[in-house]
Amino acid sequence: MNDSSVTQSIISAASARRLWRLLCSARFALVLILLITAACLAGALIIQAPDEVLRYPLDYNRWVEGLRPRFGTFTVVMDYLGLFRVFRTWWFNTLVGLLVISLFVCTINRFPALWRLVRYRRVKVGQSFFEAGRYRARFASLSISHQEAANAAVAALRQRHYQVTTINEDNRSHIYAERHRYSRFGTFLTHGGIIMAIAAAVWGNFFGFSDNSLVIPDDSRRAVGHGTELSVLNEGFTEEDYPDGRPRDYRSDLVIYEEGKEVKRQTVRVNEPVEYKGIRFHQAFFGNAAVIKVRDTATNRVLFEDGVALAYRKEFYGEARPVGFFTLFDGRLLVDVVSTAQDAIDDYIQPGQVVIVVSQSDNNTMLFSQKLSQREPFEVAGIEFTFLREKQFTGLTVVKNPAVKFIWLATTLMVLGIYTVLYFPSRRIWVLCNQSSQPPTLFLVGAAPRLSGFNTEFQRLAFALEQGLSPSTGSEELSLDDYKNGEERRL
Amino acid sequence: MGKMSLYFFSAAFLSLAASFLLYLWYLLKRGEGVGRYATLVNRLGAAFLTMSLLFRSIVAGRGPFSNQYEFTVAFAWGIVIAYIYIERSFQFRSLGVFVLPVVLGLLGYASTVPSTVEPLVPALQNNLLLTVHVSVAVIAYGTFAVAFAAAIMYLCQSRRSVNWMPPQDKLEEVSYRSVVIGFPMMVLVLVLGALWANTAWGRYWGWDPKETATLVTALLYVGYLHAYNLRGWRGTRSALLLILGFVATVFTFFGNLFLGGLHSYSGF
Ligand code: HEM
Repeated sequence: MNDSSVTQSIISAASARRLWRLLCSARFALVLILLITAACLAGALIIQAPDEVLRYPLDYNRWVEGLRPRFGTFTVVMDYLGLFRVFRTWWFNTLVGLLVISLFVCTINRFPALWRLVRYRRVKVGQSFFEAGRYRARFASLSISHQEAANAAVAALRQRHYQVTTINEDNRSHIYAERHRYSRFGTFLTHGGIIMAIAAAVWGNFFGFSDNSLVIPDDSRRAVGHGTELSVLNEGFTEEDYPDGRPRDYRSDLVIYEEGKEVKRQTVRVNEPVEYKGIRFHQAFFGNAAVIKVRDTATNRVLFEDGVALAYRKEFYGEARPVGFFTLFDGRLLVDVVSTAQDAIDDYIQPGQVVIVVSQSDNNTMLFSQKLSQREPFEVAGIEFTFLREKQFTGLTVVKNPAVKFIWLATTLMVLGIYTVLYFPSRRIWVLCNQSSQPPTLFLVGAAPRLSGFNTEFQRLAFALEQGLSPSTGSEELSLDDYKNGEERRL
Repeated sequence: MGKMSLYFFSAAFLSLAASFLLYLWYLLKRGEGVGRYATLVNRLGAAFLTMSLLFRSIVAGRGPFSNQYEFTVAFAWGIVIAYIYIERSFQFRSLGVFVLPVVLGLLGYASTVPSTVEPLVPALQNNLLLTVHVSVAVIAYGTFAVAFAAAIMYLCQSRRSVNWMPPQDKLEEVSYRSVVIGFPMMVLVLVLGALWANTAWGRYWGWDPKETATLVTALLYVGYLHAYNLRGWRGTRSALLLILGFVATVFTFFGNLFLGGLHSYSGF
């Protein structure tokens, strides 16, 4: 190894150490948390592009254009910064990635020290220890023996649910007491839970799917796709209203088929999805469907007869109208079914009518369009189209997320960790009863996380101890405020 | 029954307003006797408010958590309950002067919005989860309001010590203890919300504006808890985080008034 490579490796070791320290630092963690908070705030306040818009860049661009009236010239800058899709930007993902790394590094880094701290259970500590603690008290001029004093202390500690260890010597007794010894490890559960939850979320995104485009007209059956052999029959969608017109219940009677055989049937409501083999079907939305029949007049063969869910919105003849579609001749012809606009008085397509728009699938050229009234067949080139009747369709969200179990496990760990650390903070107390000091004295010192409410607890303990040590002084009016933390008091 | 709920609401409003005046008197004159009355009247107000919510639940046949009026009264109730707990454990009456204006503001707002009992839309008909989700949230938000009030006092209390206010370290401890009670509940609210969203909509998290706003609130308190380990962030900066946290809480709470998304559920 030559000099420069030695220097190089020293430098890189030094910068690696610096990076490690940065990742462990509480300041870095705080900055990271606050940056993520700010990003989330932006995502809550600024309108975010919906999933279906994000699927195609063209749709997204058109959607952003639509925001121009609202944000003016800022639109371009905001789009450049990703403010319309905060949670998918590289910078947001980088922040979350850094958080995970920092949590990981910080956990590894802190573990040995914390382990030592929890393992540290010295019962015998020196006199100077009792003069340095933040919470301390001293009762001088003991009128009883050090063993009696120690017994009083042990009784007071046990009553407060402390675990107590005692060592008695000739003229002194040492006591060590603790509560919630392992609670400090709660932080590991919390941070570990967060790492696990984020990992599971990423995993679920890769290996699961969520599809909210399964629309099934009443009495129709549709394949689920996504590599499954499942199909779903909708035996009927029902919408119930309260007398004042507000919705009360939406439900669909579904039957699930696997490879053509019925495997499950259930009524699905907003809060009651049906699950089969890890795939769940949720009631998501509903709307109207048109039943269309297509017949070859020469052979009298039915080419198509099914409900067409008018589940999309598209602009036709100057209005946004509900639209559905189906294909004929193995997908070579595309038939759009356009219905009456719901929000405006439609003077082109009246209720009870639909327009069919037939085009060639491969080059998207429109062949013809025709308005159909119910039960009035229309024939072109030996093919007859009939709009039979209207019905409803149900819109389902189909979800498969193998990681959900791990999400619940991770969040449970996280919640347990948080409750452990914050509701059961660890406390330790050392007591020394010294008969040989002048005058005979009982020393008390406590340790606990800052602001964890130990103040009051320590004061109460000291007060109780005072009563226990010299019952005769019990009649004297004593107030807890005499024991400000760290303050001493003579009896 | 519905009438009873409204009578109790008015009684609560009046008692809490009276207790505010008594707390103010106590703060200015330092009269222990007045302080005891303030506490008494405050608890009476809390009892009336509880009765009002109870009667409303009986009328509606579910927890009082489904429209703006009910949410607002429940929020005020959460603050009063959290305050009573903190006042008891810290023997800290002057805090009432800073907490009660928030409560009275909420009750004042509640009396301006329609208080009719309305049926639930389908997405909200998961009674048990809804009840637990919202009751835990209400208590968490209540403790944040108390932490907020103590943080305001902290900022008013200069280092030179204004003698009619408690010392800064006590105020800091009160804030911290309130957050320690409320923050775990806040996390539980997020997890319960995710559980519910997973059954109702098929995803546990969807960056819906209201969900995101709740996360922002929780993260501000995560920030506060971590600032605790940094010397430079103790005191003023922590107090500012608590104030931001409560602003975010109120924003989250009333978010459905101006945030879109699934929490204002409509069929299609
Ligand atoms: C969203 C992310 C995070 C959450 C929800 C979270 C949550 C918590 C909670 C609830 C506590 C316990 C409060 C306390 O003991 O005072 C805590 C403590 C702590 N966290 Fe985090 N944390 C997060 C990120 C981080 C990161 C990135 C780091 C590391 C660099 C970190 C380092 C610490 C440390 C050092 C403690 C103090 C532990 C102790 O005093 O025993 N945290 N965290």
